[in-house]
Amino acid sequence: MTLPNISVKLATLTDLPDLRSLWRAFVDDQRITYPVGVAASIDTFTRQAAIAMAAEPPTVVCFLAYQGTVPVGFLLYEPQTRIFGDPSHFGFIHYLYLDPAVRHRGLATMLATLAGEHMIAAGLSHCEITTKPDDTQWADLGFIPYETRSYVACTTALGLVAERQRRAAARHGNGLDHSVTEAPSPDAPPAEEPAEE
Amino acid sequence: MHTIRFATLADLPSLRTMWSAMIREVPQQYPAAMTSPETLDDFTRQAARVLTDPYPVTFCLLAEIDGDPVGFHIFGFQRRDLGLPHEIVFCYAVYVDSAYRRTDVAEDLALVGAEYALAQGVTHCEITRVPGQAGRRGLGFTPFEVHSQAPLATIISRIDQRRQRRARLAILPKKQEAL
Repeated sequence: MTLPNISVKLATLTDLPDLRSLWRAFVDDQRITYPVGVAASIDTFTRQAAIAMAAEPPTVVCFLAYQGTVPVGFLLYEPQTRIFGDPSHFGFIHYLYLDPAVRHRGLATMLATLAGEHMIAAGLSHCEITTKPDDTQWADLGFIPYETRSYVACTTALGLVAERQRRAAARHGNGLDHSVTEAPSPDAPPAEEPAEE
Repeated sequence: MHTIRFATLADLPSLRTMWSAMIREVPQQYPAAMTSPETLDDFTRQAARVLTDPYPVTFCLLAEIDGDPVGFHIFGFQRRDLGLPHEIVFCYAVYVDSAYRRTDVAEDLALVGAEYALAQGVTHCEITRVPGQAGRRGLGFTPFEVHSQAPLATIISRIDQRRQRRARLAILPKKQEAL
């Protein structure tokens, strides 16, 4: 069932208040565990969006969806470049958010179509996105994961490396400590992690 | 016994050789052309720029045994505007010649990089891996985001298919009602 009274427009500086409130809802909806405190960066987001939209030409493209006069969703993408490998130019979707009341009604598809056609018109051939590791909803549109980003506290990594080296030293040293066993090398896949694909 | 030091411009030929060897080992499908001579030249140019930067934010550690380079670690400081930590150290690449793996070389390259970051007041390290590579969970790394890509032609085609499916689903109940 299609939604009544829907309109989509290219966002401008006058839409910043609507964009700000939608971004806040997006962050609340995502429940991001790392980095922390993203919602507190709302002023930074607003400032960056303003700078990007005020640039000539604008460095981001944002489609805003309204139901009547109520903002109900947005898609924001940025043309980006990479130094190594092809494609060197691509469209990166930073955000796609819909109010829960208007989901599963074809609006996300409409926004994705507009963004896709806009990117093609801009001469881009590929689109990229970032999702949480358990989010597979983009696979339906042909998105293929190509890289996973991970984090660790430096002190945790240092502690675990030291533990590995202690175990290795105990195994290979003269004074054998039979209470420890050798941990795998950092070059080997961890035992708890089966090889992918 | 290996030694570790910061690389200089004089190490560029060794870095170029080892980076080329590393890229050939990475089971990377996207972005394409990573093993091409042009990309190797891009890396060399970029490395030269980084190694001569008067205010460096990217660094390269070189591991040597008897003066011969056997591995490297390229890392750099990055800033995140939204959320904490604001500043992180990003590990671009750690490579050790296959003859020297399962020794302490990779661990020491990682240690020196992590200690350098901590000394600069940076508390968190981030890495990326391609599908098929180890996730380094043994070193405490936790995945927090996945980067995906699709050709725009594929996306538009899939959207058409999605709309056709939805149209069929919308027609079906009406047909059943008619029956």
